[in-house]
Amino acid sequence: MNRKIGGRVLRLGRDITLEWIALQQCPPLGEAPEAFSQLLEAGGSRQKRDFRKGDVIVAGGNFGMGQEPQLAVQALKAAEVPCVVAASFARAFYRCAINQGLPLIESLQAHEKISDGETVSIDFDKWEINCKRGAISFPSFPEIIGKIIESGGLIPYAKKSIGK
Amino acid sequence: MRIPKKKELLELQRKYRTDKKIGEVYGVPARLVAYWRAKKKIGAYSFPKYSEEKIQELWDRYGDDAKAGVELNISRAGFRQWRRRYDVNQKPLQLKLEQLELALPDTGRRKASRKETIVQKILARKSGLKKVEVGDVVYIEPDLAVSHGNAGRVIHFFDLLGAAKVWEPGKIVVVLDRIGAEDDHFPSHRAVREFIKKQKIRNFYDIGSGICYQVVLENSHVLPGQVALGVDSQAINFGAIGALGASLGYEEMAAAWATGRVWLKVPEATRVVINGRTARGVSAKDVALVLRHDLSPGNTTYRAIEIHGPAAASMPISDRLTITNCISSSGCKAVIVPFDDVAARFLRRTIKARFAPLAADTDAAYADEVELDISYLTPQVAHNNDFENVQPVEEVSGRRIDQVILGCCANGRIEDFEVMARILRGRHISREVRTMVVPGSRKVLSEALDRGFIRTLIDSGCIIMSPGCSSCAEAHSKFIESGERALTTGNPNCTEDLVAASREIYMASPATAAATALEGVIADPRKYVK
Repeated sequence: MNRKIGGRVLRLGRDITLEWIALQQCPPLGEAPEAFSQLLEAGGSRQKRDFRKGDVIVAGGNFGMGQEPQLAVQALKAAEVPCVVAASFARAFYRCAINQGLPLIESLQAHEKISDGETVSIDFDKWEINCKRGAISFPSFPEIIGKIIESGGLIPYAKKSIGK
Repeated sequence: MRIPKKKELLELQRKYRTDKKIGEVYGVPARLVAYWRAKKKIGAYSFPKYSEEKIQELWDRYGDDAKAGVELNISRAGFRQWRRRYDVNQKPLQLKLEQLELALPDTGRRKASRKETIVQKILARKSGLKKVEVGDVVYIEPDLAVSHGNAGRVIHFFDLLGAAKVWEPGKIVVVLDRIGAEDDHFPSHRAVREFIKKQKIRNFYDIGSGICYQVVLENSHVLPGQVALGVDSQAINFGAIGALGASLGYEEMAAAWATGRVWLKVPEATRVVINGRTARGVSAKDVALVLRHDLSPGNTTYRAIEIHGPAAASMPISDRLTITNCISSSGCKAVIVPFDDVAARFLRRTIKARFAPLAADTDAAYADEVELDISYLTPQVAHNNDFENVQPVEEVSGRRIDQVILGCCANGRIEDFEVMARILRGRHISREVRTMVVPGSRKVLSEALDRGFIRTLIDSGCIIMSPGCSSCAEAHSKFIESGERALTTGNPNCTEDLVAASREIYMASPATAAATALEGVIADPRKYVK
């Protein structure tokens, strides 16, 4: 895992669902970022958003609600989203993302301070997000989550821990 | 040896009360102490444990039996008896500072309360820590890992991990309650059976045993205060006996099988208090539907829901299971009904094992509180999995129904069969409606046979299906055609596909469903319940 990541911000509202991906109403996301923008739009944010590959997603509460979180996480990874920052996450999505090695940051402050389209950098050594309006610190990952993300997901981590 | 003086004996009596204990001080039998007492004309112990002044003083101070009892480490009833003995009945005239306190003093517990919820306590004990805070992540060994008909998927990921053996065959339960997913990517039931044999997993229930979580609870594989994992949202049902049931993905279950560990986040808790008593013809399912309607995503997302209140405390386990079952789809992590006598009696029927239940502290910190009074509740009906749209049966009664499904995981227990049989006894269901009954497990089916419920249901025209999720899924999908309406006692899991295929489906209690089967239209069950 990269300890320092950065990128343009796509800022979204609360209760974002990604279950449209599960219903396969679009081509694979890695190939068509426009489709991803549409999905996010359908999923609850009001206007159509300009999503580019590699964007950091900053969202409000209850991100990733709905069925089939597995596919949602795969889609985010295919779209090269390095990290999702949200005020809170839906449970199934949270577990799935961590288990597939996608770092998640829970921060209410970030959603308030960061605006759409700006560039942020996230430092996983200092545990802070640097944005236009200054640095926002967030709690470090609990030990086990850090290890899972470090190994790139639960399966690689479990493999390592049983010595295979 | 010196014989004690009268004064000494009196003093010892005041201190120790019984002859036996006084005897222990001198190292003589109780008989001898009694002899000394007789010689010195001292009667048997007659000093009360608490003097009249003490009781009067505490009563004046608190004016409340429970609070005063806490001071003496005795119960509310205990303190009242002391008051009766001394005839201390008048309410204190003056209000003292203690009476103005809003919070109850620590109820007799020696240790200071740590403001923990049940889930916090369970996870703290499992992780070997003194206390865990909300938001912490613990990495623990579960007490039980349950997989259902899709165990093939778990095995697929288990093979990917390259592990040779499962962590502990005794802690893994596999119940084949349904046909695996309909694709060829994952091992079939045959491969599951081979895997079970190879890994020496004893707790294996083949098809026909019943619905996974019902079978696990009937066989007491999970006990209060334990952590049990499952592969779908229904794992939450273990909360009905005071255990923590959490659902995982297939990958995670495979990793848990291999490593024997799982990570869990300590959730915030919502306290639900259910007050009142249900009226005739109103059941736990109606309470569950209304509760599900009242809980918003804000109350439930990633939360543990604790169900308290006098109404919940008086519910049998079958009713508690109906409630946990219906809330499971709300996005919460767990639902727990605190362990109590009802759960103890339920468990005593099947096991003799010891278990260590945990209770929440009286001053535990909850993120939210939801109160529900069920005294004036009427039978309820939910339409198309939409819990915003739970309404009293009167408002939808008279709507034509083509198929009624009784039983399933939400209401497939013997108590539910009793309700249905009582309504259907001596009557025949409407010719316009197909009625299918899915028992929760083989055990339920066999008991229903013994008690004659099955005979009643068959005579009244019902179709009895085999126990398990497969027949439930079949009843819910195969026989309902477009343009038809169905009414089920199942939960949102059962009806998902139907709603997706834009069929109309209503969810209701067993009593409402049985009344509907009789009339062919949605009907109020209260006229059939004596």
